[in-house]
Amino acid sequence: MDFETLFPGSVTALPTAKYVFAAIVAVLLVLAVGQWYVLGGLTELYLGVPVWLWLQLAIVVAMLALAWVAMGVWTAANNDNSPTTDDGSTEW
Amino acid sequence: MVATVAQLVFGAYLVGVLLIGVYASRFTEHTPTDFYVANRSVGTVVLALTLAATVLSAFTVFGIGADTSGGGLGTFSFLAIAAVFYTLFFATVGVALAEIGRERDIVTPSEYIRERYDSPLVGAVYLGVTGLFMTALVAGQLIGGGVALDVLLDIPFRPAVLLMAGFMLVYIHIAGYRGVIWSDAVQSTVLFGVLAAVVGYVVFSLDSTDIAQDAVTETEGLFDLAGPADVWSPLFVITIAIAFAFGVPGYPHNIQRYFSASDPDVMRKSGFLFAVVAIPIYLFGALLGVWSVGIIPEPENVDYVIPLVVQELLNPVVFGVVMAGAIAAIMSTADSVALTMSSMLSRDIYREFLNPEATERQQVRVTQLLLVVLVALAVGLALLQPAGIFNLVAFAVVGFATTSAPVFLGVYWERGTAAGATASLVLGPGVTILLFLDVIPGSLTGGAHYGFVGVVIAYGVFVAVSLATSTPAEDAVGDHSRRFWNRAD
Repeated sequence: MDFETLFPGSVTALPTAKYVFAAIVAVLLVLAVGQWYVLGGLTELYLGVPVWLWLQLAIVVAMLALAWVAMGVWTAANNDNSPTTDDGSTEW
Repeated sequence: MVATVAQLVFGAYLVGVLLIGVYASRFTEHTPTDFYVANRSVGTVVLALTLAATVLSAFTVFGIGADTSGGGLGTFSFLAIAAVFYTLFFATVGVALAEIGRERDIVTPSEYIRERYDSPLVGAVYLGVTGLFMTALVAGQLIGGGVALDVLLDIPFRPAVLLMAGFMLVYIHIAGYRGVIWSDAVQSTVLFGVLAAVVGYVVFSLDSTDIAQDAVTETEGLFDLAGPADVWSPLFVITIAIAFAFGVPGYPHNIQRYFSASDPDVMRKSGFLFAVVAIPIYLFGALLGVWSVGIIPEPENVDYVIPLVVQELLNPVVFGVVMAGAIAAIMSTADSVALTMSSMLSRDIYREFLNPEATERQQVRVTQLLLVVLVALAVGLALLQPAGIFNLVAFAVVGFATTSAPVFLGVYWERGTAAGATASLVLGPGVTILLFLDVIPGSLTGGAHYGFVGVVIAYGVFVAVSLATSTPAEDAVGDHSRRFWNRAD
């Protein structure tokens, strides 16, 4: 996924990218801890799995999506300074 | 008959893995770069699967289920949270290390440490400390292998451990890193498939709700968020998740995998794909563990929960495949760890201190010899069984987390020094080991996981001592570190 295309240039440009990245990491931490305070008590079983676990799975999927965005922002923000070859690919 | 069919399926699987190794050996060049990191040519899917395979181990297949059968589903919760954070480590530190490894021709983590801090001593300390945790990790795998062979083939535990160790040694000797990662890719796929099939079978062919209700009757509170013993408090979950989030990306054998990526995009994508594969597998193991309480009586040794429940539920063919998948997971972790450890010893001790003129072929030969020594140590620990699979492997994982500061901070923080790295490598793991052995009482952690305490100490000491000491040579730092944001504001 090309984040430079997907997101406006301002998001992947510094210093905004730093704030976006830090904010996403903060949200991930809040979700990681916060779910513990809202899911308790949902112990009814559906297909042999407690309801809180079904909800936790949805939260984990959302966290993965956020992590993907954070990775994309970080990568796009750092790309300009990466050495590249003539065809535009990253050079190692 | 049951045993015969299951054993045939299992035997066929092992022969298949050996054939992969033999085939891979045709491409192995017996140069260090090829033997250790497959000439840095590994693509996205194979790298993701080999990352997954190294993490999906006896811990995943037997350990998680053993733990959830008594402690509830909090085990899955912390592992899933940690897996989300793995992706960020792989995408940032992993990419930076892959780039540095390629530029500086580095193939092992201890080699990176040695060059980054311009100090062979720090490299040796890193190797010694991680060696302790690697031995524990391999021992955990061998215990799992012993359990699997005991249940499947009725081979007593001790000979079963020796048999596992022997097979592993033969395989790595034949195949090298290329064979290990190829078989890892197959093994991850097999493991994912068989665990999904077993969980699907319980949900759709049996009445999983009835089974779960039977389990709750047997163990009250088993499906509660905090678990039956109220262990899974928010503090405990987040601290163990953080310890694992540093530990898994900080495995020396995972760091070696960063060096094998063919380009940065491969590293990023495979890190993400790894989490996508790992989280469902964690879930499958956790669910089978809690459901087992409603299916079979609690075995004397909880490490036997998963094999016994699978044997109880499924037909012999599927049982054989599941046990093959288990052995797959165990093998893939153990062979990766053993290969990384022996390659570090060969390059960073033998070549650095004992025989600087060693040829490339000599290095590979010494690696193969050291493999035998390392596996022998792990066999000794496995036979002692100092802890169950879950606790032994969890100890190794959080131990690796406490060794990660010189690598993760070293990549981005130019102020990091050899003295800081050495102090961190001694104090962080030292406190962790003392907490694990209960020499330091667990009550002193204030409800946090002991591994998290070790990580805080390791990173705190690294920063404090580095600030108090002079930086290493500028060129060593400059060549082996990156700015986290490499574009100027």
